[in-house]
Amino acid sequence: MENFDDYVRARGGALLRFAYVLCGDSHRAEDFVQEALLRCSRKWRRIENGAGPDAYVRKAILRQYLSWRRRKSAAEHVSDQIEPADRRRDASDSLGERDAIWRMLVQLPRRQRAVLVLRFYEDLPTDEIAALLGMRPATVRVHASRGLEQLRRHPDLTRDFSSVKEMT
Amino acid sequence: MNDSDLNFALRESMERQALSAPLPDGLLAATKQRLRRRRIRDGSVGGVAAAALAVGLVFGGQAMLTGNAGASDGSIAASPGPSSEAVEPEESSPPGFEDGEELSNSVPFHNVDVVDVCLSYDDDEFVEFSIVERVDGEYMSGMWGQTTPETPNADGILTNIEYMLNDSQDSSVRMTLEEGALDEPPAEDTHTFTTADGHEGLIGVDASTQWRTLRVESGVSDVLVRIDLNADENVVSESELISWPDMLDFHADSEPCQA
Repeated sequence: MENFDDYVRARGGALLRFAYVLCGDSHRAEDFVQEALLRCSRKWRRIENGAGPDAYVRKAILRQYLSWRRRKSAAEHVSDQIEPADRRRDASDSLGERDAIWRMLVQLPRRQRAVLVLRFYEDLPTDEIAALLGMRPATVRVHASRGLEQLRRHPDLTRDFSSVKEMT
Repeated sequence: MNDSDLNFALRESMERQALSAPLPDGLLAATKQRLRRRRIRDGSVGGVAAAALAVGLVFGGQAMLTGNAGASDGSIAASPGPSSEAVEPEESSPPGFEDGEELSNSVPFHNVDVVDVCLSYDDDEFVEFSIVERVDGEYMSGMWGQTTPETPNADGILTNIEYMLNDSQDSSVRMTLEEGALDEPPAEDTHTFTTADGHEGLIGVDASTQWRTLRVESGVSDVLVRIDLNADENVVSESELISWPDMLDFHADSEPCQA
């Protein structure tokens, strides 16, 4: 398990950030990462001998996120009052737009948000996103399109997003 | 702003939030602790599905409520204290995980007027549960966790799970889901039942996702939720602060606990 320990020490921060961007809550992100790592630890030898732990652990985190949201979202209250993590630095239109985008992301349906996070935060191509989420590439593009459309319509965005190019 | 500018803004927004997120320390230690707890649950597996699930609620700082899976009579009866027939955990530790790690914690609940318990199986065949408290209909706090890993049997398991509730007046009630009752969900996806002291409960079943939802209403206060995994080890799940303002309505959905 030494390699598992090394991996968590080396990649824990990145995993937590990934989970945080997914769910928008640091405590929940930690929970997702812990649970994902726990499950991966049981088959770590196979994971580390495979294509690499990152993809496997990332998929496990995604499952946690999607599963949790699936369970709770029926009654989960989505607030538009969510404060960005660093609002005090919001001194420009540009930062204001970033915060508006973040607030909008928090409110997106989980699969749309997951697709956008994987595309824009993890920089993954559509095929890899589809594999991670267990959906067809066309479905990924639909989720991305709808997520971007939500951003496009957000009233807090001060610039013109009407010609946003959808993910291809 | 052109198309690429928006893509850039989106990426930058995520990266900025990720970098400014308050990340906890000790991820490895916390993960090991969680694995340790899970190992104990693994070790408490008996021959009966959900054999070691126990959900305890402590009201007013005193242990009052304990649910224990494993009984088989399907009765509703008062019964104090945790089960004395817990299965011993396995002795071997997973590689790299030491014995003696902290196993306990507590989550104080306050001014509870409704306690909701949600049970399910996830893809890895664990029983999961959620317990939340609400005050005047508003979600206040909650907790969730997983119980004994197991392989669902042909009947769908969760045949014997008991909950005992005690309110601040020390009147106790224990509910036992009747064996097999969850395996045959009615068309409307819910069961209703009444506990021995008149509290109403509701079980929501979604056959497609194998969700089991149990809700118990109780006019109690100062509640502590505790998970008893065996007679000697009390393990408490993580607290979870979520917004769950409309719990009463979700049973009306065709998919309990589900979006």
